[in-house]
Amino acid sequence: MTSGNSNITRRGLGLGAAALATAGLARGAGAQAAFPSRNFRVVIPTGQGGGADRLARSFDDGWTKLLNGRQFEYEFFAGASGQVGYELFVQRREADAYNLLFGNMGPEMIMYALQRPRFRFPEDLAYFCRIDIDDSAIFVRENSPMRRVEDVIAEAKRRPVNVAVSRIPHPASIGMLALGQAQGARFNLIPYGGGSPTMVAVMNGEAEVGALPVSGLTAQAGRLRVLSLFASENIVAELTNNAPTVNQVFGTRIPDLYSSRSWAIHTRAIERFPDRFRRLEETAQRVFEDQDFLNALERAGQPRQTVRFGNRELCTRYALDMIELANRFRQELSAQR
Amino acid sequence: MDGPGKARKPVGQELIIPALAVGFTLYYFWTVQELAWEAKANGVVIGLLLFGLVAILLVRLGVRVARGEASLRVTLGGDWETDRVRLGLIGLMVAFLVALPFLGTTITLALMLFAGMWLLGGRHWPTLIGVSVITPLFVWATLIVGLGTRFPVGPFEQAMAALLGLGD
Amino acid sequence: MELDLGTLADLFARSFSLWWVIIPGIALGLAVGVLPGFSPQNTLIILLPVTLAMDIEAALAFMIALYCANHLSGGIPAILVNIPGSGGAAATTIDGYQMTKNGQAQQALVLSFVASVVGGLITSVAVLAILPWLAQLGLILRSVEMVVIILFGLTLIAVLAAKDMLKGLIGGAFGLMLGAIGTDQVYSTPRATFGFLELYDGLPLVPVLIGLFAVSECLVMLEEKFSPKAIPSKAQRPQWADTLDGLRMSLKYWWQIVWTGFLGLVIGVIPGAGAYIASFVAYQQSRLFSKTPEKYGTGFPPGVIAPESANNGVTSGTLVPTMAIGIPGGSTAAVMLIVLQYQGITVGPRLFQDNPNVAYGVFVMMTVAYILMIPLILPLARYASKVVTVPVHIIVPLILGLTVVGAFADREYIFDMALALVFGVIGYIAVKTNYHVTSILIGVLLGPIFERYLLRALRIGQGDIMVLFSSPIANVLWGLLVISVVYPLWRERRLARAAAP
Repeated sequence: MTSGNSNITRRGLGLGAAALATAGLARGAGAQAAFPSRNFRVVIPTGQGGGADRLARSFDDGWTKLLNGRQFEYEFFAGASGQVGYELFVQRREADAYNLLFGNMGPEMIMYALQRPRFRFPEDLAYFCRIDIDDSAIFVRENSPMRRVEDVIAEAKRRPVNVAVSRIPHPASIGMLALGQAQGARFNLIPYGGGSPTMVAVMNGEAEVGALPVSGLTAQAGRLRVLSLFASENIVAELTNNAPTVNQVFGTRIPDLYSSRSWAIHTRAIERFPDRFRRLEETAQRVFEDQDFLNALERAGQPRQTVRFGNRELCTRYALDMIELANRFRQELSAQR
Repeated sequence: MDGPGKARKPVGQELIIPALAVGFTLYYFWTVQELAWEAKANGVVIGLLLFGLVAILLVRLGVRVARGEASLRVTLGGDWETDRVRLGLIGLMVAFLVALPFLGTTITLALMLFAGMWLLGGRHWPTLIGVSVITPLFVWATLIVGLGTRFPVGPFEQAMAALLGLGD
Repeated sequence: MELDLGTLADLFARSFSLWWVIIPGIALGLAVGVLPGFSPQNTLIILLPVTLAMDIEAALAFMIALYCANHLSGGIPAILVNIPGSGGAAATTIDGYQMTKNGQAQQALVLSFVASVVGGLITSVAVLAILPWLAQLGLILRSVEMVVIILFGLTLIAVLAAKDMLKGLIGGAFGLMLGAIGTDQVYSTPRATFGFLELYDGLPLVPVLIGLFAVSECLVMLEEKFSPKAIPSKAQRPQWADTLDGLRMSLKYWWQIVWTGFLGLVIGVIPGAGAYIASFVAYQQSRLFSKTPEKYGTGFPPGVIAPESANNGVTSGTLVPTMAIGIPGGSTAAVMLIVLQYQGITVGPRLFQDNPNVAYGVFVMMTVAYILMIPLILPLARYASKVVTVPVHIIVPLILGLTVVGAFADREYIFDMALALVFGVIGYIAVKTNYHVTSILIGVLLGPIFERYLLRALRIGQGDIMVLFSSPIANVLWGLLVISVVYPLWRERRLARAAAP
């Protein structure tokens, strides 16, 4: 839980000349609109150096250019599966459209359903720009005796199989529970508190199987093998040895379970400053045409196929679906007994 | 202290930390009572261990009190004059925290440093003013302007920002 | 992953040519490390826009220099005013501050600097030699092994409490309970948070550290004002002779520096384990293998060397998993990873074929950073030790003001400043009633990670507690743990019997 900002270049250390130059260009290019007249402050409810951090920084490269060269300053509040970041954003950041949140809607809406934090969705908070669809995947280490997802199920029918996950309240975890239910297999979920330690746990054999969003796994090809995905189709087939989807293999009807990062804003800010919000919405959508953004993503190791814009309506519907799904699995996902 | 007059050694102060620890542990137990075992196992085991240790301590002190070697009077060993300064310093820090959101970091820090040095008996004016002016300015220049840390801002920070065109 | 001498020489030449970023990095790292509350990862995040705009090699050299220097300077306030600049320097206070009280402030600083630099230097050179092998270590040590390693650190509670075992254990248990504040490791349900959002993440380290050590020390220092004889007399005038004396001590205990440095390296390689585990375990082990364990805690040089060498050994270790498997060994390494990725460099096993200049380069840069530190720090020892001559009525308000500001800086909550005050009062009472504050701190620091690894291990064992004894490496560690607890007791009894014929 640390904070940082991207402001220092303009404060005269003189080393960030490049950033300064682009900022100046954008300003000169005739973006006369009064908003934004200062930098944005972004709450990220996960840790620094994590997936959300990297994605947000790649995105703001393009976004800054469309917003009078204004920059994005990040703060990280990773506590309680994101609850700390969300509560802090809703309660202690001014609803002025300069304060934004960048979160992972899937796990964080599950957190919302299970932990009942002190804010209401969608009354207090609105997601308005989905950046990616990152399907949950089942994976093993490269030399695992389990070669196919059917092997995993066969083993889990004999005995409970240990599955490393990032958190218990997470779409990938729900996927494993739903799959277990449908197939009469038992999975013992072990939370590792982040994507990286989860991958290490599978690499070193502490857990036999892992379940995570697929985009981080593609960078570990050769060490980790993706067996199957909780999605209607495998959009990163060439990066995952054509792994089949769970529903294809087992004929189950498990909903698509993906992580999905999105920008969010106070709902009250939308009501108070509709024109500011319109400008944010409109410019954010245009970032998806920006080659710099796509290049930055590539460098950060995010497969291009996963990038997919979604507007406020799509985001809200997805978030509400996630809340409903979490409530269905409340018993398994919550510590309240 | 251990003279022939059988002055009884005060030991009440040795119970402050155990009392805090036991009190906190009871509160912890109360907050986890409805949770799954994994969410409380570690705390419950350590808490019970703590209760055991404190029980032994109570027996040990009880025996000494019963034998007339010790009394349950509480003292931290400080003389009254030092303790008064100590309480004054704590009060000053509390006042610092209360004033911080209103006056901003620079001004509050300056006032706190000045008052603190005065309280401890500093009367050398150049030092008093020098330290309490230079330190806050240094903090302001490096942490607030340089690194952009979001310390509470007040009249000074706002005035400087307007003057130098720093804040946006 | 082979490295020939020609390439190595080339890498060294290039690293030395980056002195112009390494030296500012060292200076900034030293400054940031002295102030509790300013961590290297926070500083690096704040400076990201600068480093992202720099050339990749310069950026890496700068970050590494800052990181290593930061691990060195945390010991300075620990030694001089009993206030560790970071969690990794908490163990340094035990003997370091005693040395200052004995009038050996400068010697202690020299010891800590030499231990840090040499510990960091030899481990970073060692990494260059055995990197492929080391990279495997992170994959061998799993949750079960970590449980035992953390237990080594926790036994220090009992070691510190040697004078009054019962009180020491109560202090440690109190710390462990406080460490259980925050959301649980499995379900993220808040426990004992008093309803404060600020405590959901657990008790924040920095305000607790500042409270227990800095604020409480200020309250203790007031006594000197009213009884001037408590001021260390010999520390008044720093002399080069003291510097030389410190160097002589460092030479005498060179072997301590070497092996505690390697201990730090090994612990650093494990993702998630940090400098403070390393420094506590090193102190505990150093005392265990010493012929004169009773001298620890009285201002004994190896008590300064062990934690300082170990916490700099960690700096070399954390970068190993970052480079070799693409998984950061710590939060500072995570920030470095952002820069690497931003420049389009994919870390992981392929890095050694695709980009050996970067893969081995970072460890060469680290070696060079440590070499460049040497001429900078010896004069620092001489002048920094002057701090102890500042009068109480000035230094107490200054320490209070600056550390409480530091308490805010880490997370930007005013709540944390208040927390530092609360722990200051708790710390003062603990000091005055002989409950070791370091024991409480060890509990707060190691408690949460102990719970994390323990629950993970138990969950992997699916409820079977025998899982803790299921791995050969862990069983060896368990054996060593038992020996390290029983052996000192046995030795003391034997000594007692020899003393009373």
